[in-house]
Amino acid sequence: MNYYNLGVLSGIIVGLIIVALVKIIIFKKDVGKKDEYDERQELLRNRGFKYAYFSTLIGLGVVFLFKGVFDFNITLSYSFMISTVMFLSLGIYVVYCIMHDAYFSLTSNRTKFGIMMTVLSLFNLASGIIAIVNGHADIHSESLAGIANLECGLVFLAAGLAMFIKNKMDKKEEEE
Amino acid sequence: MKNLRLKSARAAKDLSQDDLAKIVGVSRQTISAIEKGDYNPTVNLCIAICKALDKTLDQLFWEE
Repeated sequence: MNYYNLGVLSGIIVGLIIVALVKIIIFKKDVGKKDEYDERQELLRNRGFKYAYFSTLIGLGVVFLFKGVFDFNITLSYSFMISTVMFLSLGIYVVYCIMHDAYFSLTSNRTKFGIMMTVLSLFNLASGIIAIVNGHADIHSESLAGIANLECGLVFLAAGLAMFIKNKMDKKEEEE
Repeated sequence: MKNLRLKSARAAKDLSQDDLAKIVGVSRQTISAIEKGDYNPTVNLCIAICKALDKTLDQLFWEE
């Protein structure tokens, strides 16, 4: 294993430790609790999953068509395009579920979840921006250093925005 | 189609959407969606709602 792979592996481990710590600190009492969803939420989560699944298939199809089948001169790397498709599909699933009240379980605390989303979003966006500023992030290279963080941060940001909009919509509905 | 009978039965019991949701074990948005006619509940949920509001299935969910 070379130094690059060791760096990536340690980055993943540190990332997982940070996520676990944030979850333990914010969700102290909720750790180990099983998430429960009602029948409408289950239905909409499955529908969201279907949309995300087909988005992945279509996205990967487009990537392989333009980069693999036709010999177009696309300089973007496979890693960048495939990770973009994956994060886009994840974003579709998360935003769809949030906008249809199917993302949070009946027992989950939305405020705590919002705090966790913000922390993870800022952490990932900062890592991505620092990598771009230092010139380590390159969308033409197969290395996803910094790029994956930026994409992940954007998904969390989209989720945060969706939560904010949905919260406003719910408050308006409750007032009516 | 809006379910106004459910809404009035809930109001008659002086329950908010949130109260009813907690009694039947669903989210407030699910009760709201049923009242607005955006979601058709399963028979199990219909029965749970009827029991909570002391009504029959016909009284709340049967369309004339």
